[in-house]
Amino acid sequence: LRRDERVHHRLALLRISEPPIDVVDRVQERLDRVARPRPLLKPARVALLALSLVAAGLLVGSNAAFRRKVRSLGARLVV
Amino acid sequence: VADDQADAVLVERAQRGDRAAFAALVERYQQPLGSYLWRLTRDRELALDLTQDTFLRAYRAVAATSPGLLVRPWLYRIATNLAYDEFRRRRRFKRVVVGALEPPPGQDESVAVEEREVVHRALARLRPTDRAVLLLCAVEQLSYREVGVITGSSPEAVRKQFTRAKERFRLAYAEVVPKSLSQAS
Repeated sequence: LRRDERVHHRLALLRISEPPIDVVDRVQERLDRVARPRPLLKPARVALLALSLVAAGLLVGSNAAFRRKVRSLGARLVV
Repeated sequence: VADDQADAVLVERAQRGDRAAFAALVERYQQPLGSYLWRLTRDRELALDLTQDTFLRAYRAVAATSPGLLVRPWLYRIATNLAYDEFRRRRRFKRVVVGALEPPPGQDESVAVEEREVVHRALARLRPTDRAVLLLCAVEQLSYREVGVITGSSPEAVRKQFTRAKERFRLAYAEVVPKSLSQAS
C-alpha cells in the first residue's frame, strides 16, 4: 500500500508545473480558413477558360443555320 | 454534473454550427488537454499542435455525435489517438525528449523539481499506452469509466492496466533515480 501511495505521490508532482496552453486563436483561424471558399488555382482557371471556348466553338460549329449565315457573310465580303 | 450539462449545451449549439459555442469548449478544455499532451510528449510545441488538431478534429466530428456524449473523455480520446499517431509517425517510442532541470528557487523546492524530472524520465521509459493510463488516472484524475471510453476498454480492464502500469513505473523510477534523491525521499 505504501509503495502504491509513493507512486501516486510521485505522479502527483507532475501537476505542480505545466506550460500555459492557448490555442483558441489558432483553432479559430484554421476554422475560418476551412470555411472560406478557396479561389480556383490559376492553372485550373486557364484550363476552365480553354474548355469553355472549345465547348462554345463546338456548339456554334454544329449549328447548320449559323454556318450558312457565316458563309453568306463571307461571300458578301469577298464580293 | 453541472459541467456535463454545460458541455452538452455547448455541443448541441456547436452541432448547429455555432462557432462561439465551440470556442467556449476550446477555452474550457485547452489547458487540461494541452497539459496532458505535454506530459505525454514532453514537447511543448508538439503539445500545442496536437491540442489544436484535437479541437479541429472534434469540430469536424461534432455534428455526428449522439446525445449524451461524454465530452471530456471524447476529447481526451481524440488527443490520445493523435499522440499515438504522432509517436508512430516519428518513432518516438524511445525518443521522448526529457527537458532540462529548471533552476531551483529554494532547497526544499529543488528536491521537488529534481524528483519531478526523475518522474518524467521514468515515464519516458514506459510504453505510450502505459504512460497515457498513468497520466489519465493519476494526474488527470479521470474515472476508470472515463478512461475506458478513451482507451476503448471496460472500467475493470482499465483498473488492471493502471495497476500494471504503476508497477512498471515503480521499476523504471528505481532505475533512473539518482542516489542522492533516493536517500532524500
